[in-house]
Amino acid sequence: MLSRIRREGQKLAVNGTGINAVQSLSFGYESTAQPITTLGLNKVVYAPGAPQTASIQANSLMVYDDFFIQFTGELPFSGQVDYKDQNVKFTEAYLTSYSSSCSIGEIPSLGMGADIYGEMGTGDYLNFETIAPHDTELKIAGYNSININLDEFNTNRVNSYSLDIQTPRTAVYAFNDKTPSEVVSESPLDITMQFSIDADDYKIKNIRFVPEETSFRNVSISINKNNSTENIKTFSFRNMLLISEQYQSDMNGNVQISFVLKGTILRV
Amino acid sequence: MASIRYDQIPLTIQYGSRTEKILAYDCSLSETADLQPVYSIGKKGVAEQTPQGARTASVSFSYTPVLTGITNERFKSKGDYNIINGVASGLKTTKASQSSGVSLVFGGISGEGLLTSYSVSLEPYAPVQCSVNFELFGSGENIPASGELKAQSLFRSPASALASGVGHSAYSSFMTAQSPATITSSDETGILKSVNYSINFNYEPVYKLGQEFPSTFLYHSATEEARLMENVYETGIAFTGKSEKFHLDVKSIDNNNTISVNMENPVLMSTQLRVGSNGVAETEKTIRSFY
Repeated sequence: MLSRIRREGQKLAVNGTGINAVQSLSFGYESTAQPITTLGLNKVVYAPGAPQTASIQANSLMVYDDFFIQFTGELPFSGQVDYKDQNVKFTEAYLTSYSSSCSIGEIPSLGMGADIYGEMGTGDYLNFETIAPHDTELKIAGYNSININLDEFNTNRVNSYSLDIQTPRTAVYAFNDKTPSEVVSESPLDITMQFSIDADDYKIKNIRFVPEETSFRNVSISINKNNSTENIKTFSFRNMLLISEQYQSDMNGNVQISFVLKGTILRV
Repeated sequence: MASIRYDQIPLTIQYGSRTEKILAYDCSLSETADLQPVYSIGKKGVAEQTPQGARTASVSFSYTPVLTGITNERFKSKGDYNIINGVASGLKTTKASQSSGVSLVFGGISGEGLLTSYSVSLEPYAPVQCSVNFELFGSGENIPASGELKAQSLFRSPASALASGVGHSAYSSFMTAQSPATITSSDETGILKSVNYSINFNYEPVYKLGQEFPSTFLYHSATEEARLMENVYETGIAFTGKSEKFHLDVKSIDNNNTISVNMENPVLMSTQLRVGSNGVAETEKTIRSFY
């Protein structure tokens, strides 16, 4: 009988701590071996044409104070993925993107993507003695336990938010080495926040509002445990720049307005 | 069909008893007749175009060097092997005045050439790329390039393989001690990000009356230069330059074979620091040697 691996047969751990409520997980690599096509070619030969890297992406529900956001800084992380009796480890992963979103009817979700510059695969180059679960008690948030502070939302209902943080990295390679000598964390970080609201008295800006009426807003999203005031996570950003607004309606729905705020954070 | 595909045009070179098939990415052959117009008073237009010098040809190509091969035909012994690097290294320090050429065969066209320029480019984690130029002068009454461009029939091997003998920067080392690429004022180790090395040779062709092509060539001098991209900047370049050492070992992917580039008493002659927004500061040093 064919066997298979289902969700209960997998585990993701980062720096020795298990990650809960993972909804999807992918990791992999692509070989950089490239054919050398030369004059008078009589045999195809391959050589590495670029540094070998791998990547990992994971999505999870927000069930505790998520710790991936701390890796938007300059520190890398290591981890492992267990599936059935296999064990894949990775080292020197640098977060390149972080996201969070929620819509009415959903549990807030998180997403992360990272580039791996160290090792990835099976082997004994990394050993987490024991893997501790992150939290044994899950604090599941709901859309009804989110508070959004944004200047003009008194009579406009927020339908969804999405947050995206890009943390680009530049790997510096030296000769005679297969891993980078340095991974430079680029600055600034790009922050994008998108809100969708059911409009009531929302006033769309004139398209020529920049520069005379350039709009900067302070944004705070506070996510609490479902039916509770216990806080799980708070995102707050200052001086986000309004960069786009979109009005949308159809025969069967309410008027919806989406707007995007952009922010930049300089690294210290 | 008149068109000839790239894989039907092999490029091979011979020097002494060694033959090397070049992993060339491109190759160009150009021939020039040195003609000048002759005008005369009382005649409208040109009387004729007449030669003022010998016909010349040049072959240039870029390639990835193969560092391993048969070094002794008699014993079939294998080892470090690269004709062009060997010629360049030997020529710049030679005390002999006369130079012998390298035989080049390019898709049925052949000629004897003198190495006039040779450059090596290394980027991180990539096969080494070299470029060369040979001047084909001919000899006595032999024209510089002869033969006919024809598609060559080659034995095709169906097996794919790792190019284990080619030079690759991921296995190549740069001298760390007293190297211009790693000195910093705060004793931090800089990272060498790329090297562009080049050497140019000057010859004097010796002509005999009654012959179009030179009977021999005299080697005169060579100019050697390396541009080093790093991430650290060394301030205070000296008025007289600064004497540095430069030694680069280019190694094959299987790490068994090496070709070396040694610059003799190079002097640091220029430095440059540049940075753009959203980027990392880059520095470049140029060191130069003369022979």
